[in-house]
Amino acid sequence: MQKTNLLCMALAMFAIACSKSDTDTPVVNPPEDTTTVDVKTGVYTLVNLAADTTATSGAAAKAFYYSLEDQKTIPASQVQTANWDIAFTGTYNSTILINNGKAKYSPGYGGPGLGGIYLVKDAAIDAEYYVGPQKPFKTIPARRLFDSAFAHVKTVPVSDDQLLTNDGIGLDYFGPSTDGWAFYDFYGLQFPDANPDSVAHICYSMPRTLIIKTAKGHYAKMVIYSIYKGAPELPTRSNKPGFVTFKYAIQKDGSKQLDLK
Amino acid sequence: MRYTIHICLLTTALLTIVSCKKDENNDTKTSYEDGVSTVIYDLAGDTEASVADGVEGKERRPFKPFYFKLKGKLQSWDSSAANRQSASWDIAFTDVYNALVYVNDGSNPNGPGYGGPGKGLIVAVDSPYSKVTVAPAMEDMKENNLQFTGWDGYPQVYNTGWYFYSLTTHLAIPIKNRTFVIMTAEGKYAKLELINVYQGNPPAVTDLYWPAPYFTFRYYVQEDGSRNLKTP
Repeated sequence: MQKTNLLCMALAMFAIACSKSDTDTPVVNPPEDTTTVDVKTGVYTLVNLAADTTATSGAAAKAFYYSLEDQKTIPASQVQTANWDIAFTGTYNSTILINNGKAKYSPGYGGPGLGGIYLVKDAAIDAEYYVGPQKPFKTIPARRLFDSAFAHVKTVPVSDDQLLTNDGIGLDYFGPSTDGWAFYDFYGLQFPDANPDSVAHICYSMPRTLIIKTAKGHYAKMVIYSIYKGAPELPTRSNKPGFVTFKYAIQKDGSKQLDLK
Repeated sequence: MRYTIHICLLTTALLTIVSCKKDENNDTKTSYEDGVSTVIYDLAGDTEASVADGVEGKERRPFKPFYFKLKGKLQSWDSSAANRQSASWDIAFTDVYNALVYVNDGSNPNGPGYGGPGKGLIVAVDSPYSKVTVAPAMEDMKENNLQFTGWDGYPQVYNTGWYFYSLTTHLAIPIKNRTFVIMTAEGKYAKLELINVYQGNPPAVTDLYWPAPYFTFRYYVQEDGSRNLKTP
């Protein structure tokens, strides 16, 4: 079980950092926590949402709470408020949980959160790279597939009662988990001929869209491009984990219309 | 003076107790034997697989699962559908370090026994092994069925495991005083304590390269079909 720490190191207590984006959506300069921005209906890309430099690997197990509504990190002391929408948590900190006050296993249990989460599997997109559970990809999914998967989701495809509230969404079929948003290549199966020091224990993001219902009840969709600094399309062990780059769209009018630009 | 003697006696007595306790702790193996349970020591899993790179005698590949029949203490490496979908095993040791333990449940599409006759169920009881004297009622077993036990809290918060994985040491730390009540493939109640994944069942492993997976566990199967799981 050694060397599983790469992901463990990832996604720790987060602060916010920015860098250039390769994507076509506007790069958001996340504000200081003291300021508030009015996040309007639209599409945003957050780049290198980074681990707090004061975090230790021991502290990396702590959940990190983030507000899609306000684009800022929320301290754990506010876990039972509607101030946060997604938490990066779980054993690898790669499991995304939402804020639902009625769900016993949501970190927001007992609070006012109305959140939910759902993983959209797009058969046409999957066919381009995905072979099956616990199998290496046909090819590392290109960035355009993430954007296509995201664009294909034009509305919330399920009714509210099908949104998960107790369950998080994390690694795809890693151990006993089921459908997820990332392939954790524990053994370096993706590149069997490469030096294992470089290709084992890599987390490859998958072009699958997550539907998020925010704590306040607004609908959003997101794709996670990378958990490595600089969001390399082809990560190796030389890349530094703990920096999340993702795109999301949020609909503030209360509707499920997510065909946003 | 009298007080001094008393203190001396007390100190001696305390030291004796402490040293006695130490001896008991050192003698970990006999402490699992209760006369009726089966204790398995250092059952080797797939020790040739490795999650680390460049470990001598190990190859970098996924761990091969193995299957275990409680009655008869039979270990099998036969992953054919014919074996998986049979009642020839009760628990399967799968995935990383063979530490993800499934029961033989023919109705669980994510388990190795899917499609077979296995009647397996598994629930966790946070109580020492000897204190678990009666199995929950069948309805409760079904209601709280975990399907598997492995890494505590993974993949979901409510997945009850048999070990913690430490993010600081990268070692698996078995959870003490957690007992599993299971139903065997044939539908008999049993209790199971998964004790360690490291060779020799060391009380505390600090070395990442300590030989693993070697399983120490004990169990008791109630063959008469009742829920009585009393052991001495």
